[in-house]
Amino acid sequence: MRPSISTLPLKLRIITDANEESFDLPNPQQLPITPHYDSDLSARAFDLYLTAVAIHELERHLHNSVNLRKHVKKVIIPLTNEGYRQIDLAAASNTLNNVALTIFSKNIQFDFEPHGGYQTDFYQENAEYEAVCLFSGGADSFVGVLDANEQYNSIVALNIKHARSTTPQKYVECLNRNVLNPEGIPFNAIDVSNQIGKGYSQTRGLLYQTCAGIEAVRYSAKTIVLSECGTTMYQPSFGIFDRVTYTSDPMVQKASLRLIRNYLDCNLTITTPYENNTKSEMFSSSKRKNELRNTFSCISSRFRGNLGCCYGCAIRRIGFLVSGIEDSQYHYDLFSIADDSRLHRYGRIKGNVRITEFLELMRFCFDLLTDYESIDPVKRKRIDHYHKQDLFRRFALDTFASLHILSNYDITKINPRINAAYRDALNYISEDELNARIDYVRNMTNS
Amino acid sequence: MPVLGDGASVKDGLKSLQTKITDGKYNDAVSVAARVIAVSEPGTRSLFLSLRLAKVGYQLYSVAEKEYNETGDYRSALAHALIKETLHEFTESDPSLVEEGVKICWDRLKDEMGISIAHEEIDDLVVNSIVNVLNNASGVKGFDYGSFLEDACENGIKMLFDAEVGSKENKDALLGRSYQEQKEFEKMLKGASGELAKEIVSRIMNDKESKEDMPEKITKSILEQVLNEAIDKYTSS
Repeated sequence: MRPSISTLPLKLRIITDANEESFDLPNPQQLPITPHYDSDLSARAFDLYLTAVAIHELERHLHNSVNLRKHVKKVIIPLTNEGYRQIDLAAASNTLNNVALTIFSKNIQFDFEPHGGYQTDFYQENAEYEAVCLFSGGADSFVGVLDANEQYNSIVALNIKHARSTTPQKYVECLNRNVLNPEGIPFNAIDVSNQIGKGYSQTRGLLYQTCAGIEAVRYSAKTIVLSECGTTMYQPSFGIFDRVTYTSDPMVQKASLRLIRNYLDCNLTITTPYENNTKSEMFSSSKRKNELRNTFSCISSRFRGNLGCCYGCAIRRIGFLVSGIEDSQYHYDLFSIADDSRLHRYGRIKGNVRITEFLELMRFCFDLLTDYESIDPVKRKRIDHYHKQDLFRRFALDTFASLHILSNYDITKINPRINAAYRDALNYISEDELNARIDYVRNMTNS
Repeated sequence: MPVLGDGASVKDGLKSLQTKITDGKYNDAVSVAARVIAVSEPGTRSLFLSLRLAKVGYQLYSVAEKEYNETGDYRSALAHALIKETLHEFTESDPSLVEEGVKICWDRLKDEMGISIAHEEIDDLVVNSIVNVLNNASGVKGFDYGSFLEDACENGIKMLFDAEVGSKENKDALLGRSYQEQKEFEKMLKGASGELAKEIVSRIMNDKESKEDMPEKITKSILEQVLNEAIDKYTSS
């Protein structure tokens, strides 16, 4: 799918107290710029795409510039003439203002300006599907797309393809070839600009979900399936000042839906079938357990394969261990790395950094199980807001259950600090409870 | 940690805190933690800014309290107060309404004061210190200005302590202790946050100028004074 581009490079204008800076909006496929006028749908679909891209680019610029971050007041986004006339601009501005408040903690005003030409491939298709299922090549969306294929009469798997993101793309292509295609699941991709480096890209969820909205309207689908597990969707902060992912946060879902309904004048829904499940529970209910290991979960996509020590890999490993499903190979074994080892693929940081991060996760899980009220309200605000205490209690059990499983294999292989914390936790959490949890998850099988 | 800054005194203090935690000398560790805030310019400034925003927060609370006294529904009363104050189109049922509303108030206050903050952690500390008070004030009758400031200040100090303990070295040291010790130390820090906040706010309320206008210089001087006095108090206990 080649979604862009307009007659001239379109500009994102960021206005601060003192001045204004403007940035070219990216053209992911470097398409030739040709004036083109088409139906209302393609114009507004292009506008929706460009608005989501603009927010993603805004995040990039705020990330890169302290000055912009400190002083940003207003942002102006280009819209086609058609869109400028037809979209409820005040409502769109309000939605984006809420997104900025939550994600950037900034009260930014959003405005729009019209432009002339555009070229887009966002046309209404003759084929119809009941649902669009977002597919990233990760374990959650892999389980979700296969499940959705049984739940709905017809689905299309949609991948949002970031420029220069070769590793995840290889996984996506491989899974499409080996699983989706043989299962008869159609696959599409929409190109977007490259990922924002250094930490989580917080606005990518808005980009993915609005792209899914465009795809849904093109294929007359009424549902977007977002198959992320609940523990990622509602991920709490383990530290007071930690940044957590907003990719599938309910606020982002709501904002995406508002934009989709406003721009495309349609009534779609986003469904999140796994919002009350942990990863282990999702994996256990997977239809193709043997293929699960061929998915990609690592936060770093610079190297081939899952590195093993980031948060994404850690919770993936917990999920695989507890569900008893064969996992992929990792570059590093999080549970056994030595504190003084150098992790070259993580910028040569020492093993103890990753071990300490895992100990912090263990501590959070310990509090979840033994003294929930003692957890700082800032850390547990998402859990409280969305009433997900039981979900996270199961997640906490999974975390200690995975260590319980490992300790039954070869305790000498576990990092001594992790082992000490695990042994200490056993003074408060019974092994019977952990065994019961493992049995429960492994018996959840759906096949 | 940007919220503490990276001055030499702060670095030395954090190193000393690490030693105290590693040695299990928790009373001394609390004292060192207070000293780190006292010598941290961004730390004391964050506390001062929390107190300034608490003034706005208390006005919001007062408006909400009036409606709450009539309806008995604090959440709804608070939502209405925030919508009225910020003129923002919030959905009343939005679970993060209080946080978003306080962020708007904070943005406005920064404009009024002519300041800008480069580090998100400072914004987070200031906003969260007020959000927590507003969220927890549910059903509290007769929550006065002093109590509101005290709770906001306690939250701010607690978060600064968290920032200290959350620094790389100290996190290593604390997570290396047993869960029981970790929790005991955290309880001590929480207790100290409350005591320090009480003393700070009592001095602010006893000084007419501080109470009404809360000038930065005087308020920060009170903060530093109380934090420095605390150093002896916790070491000797």
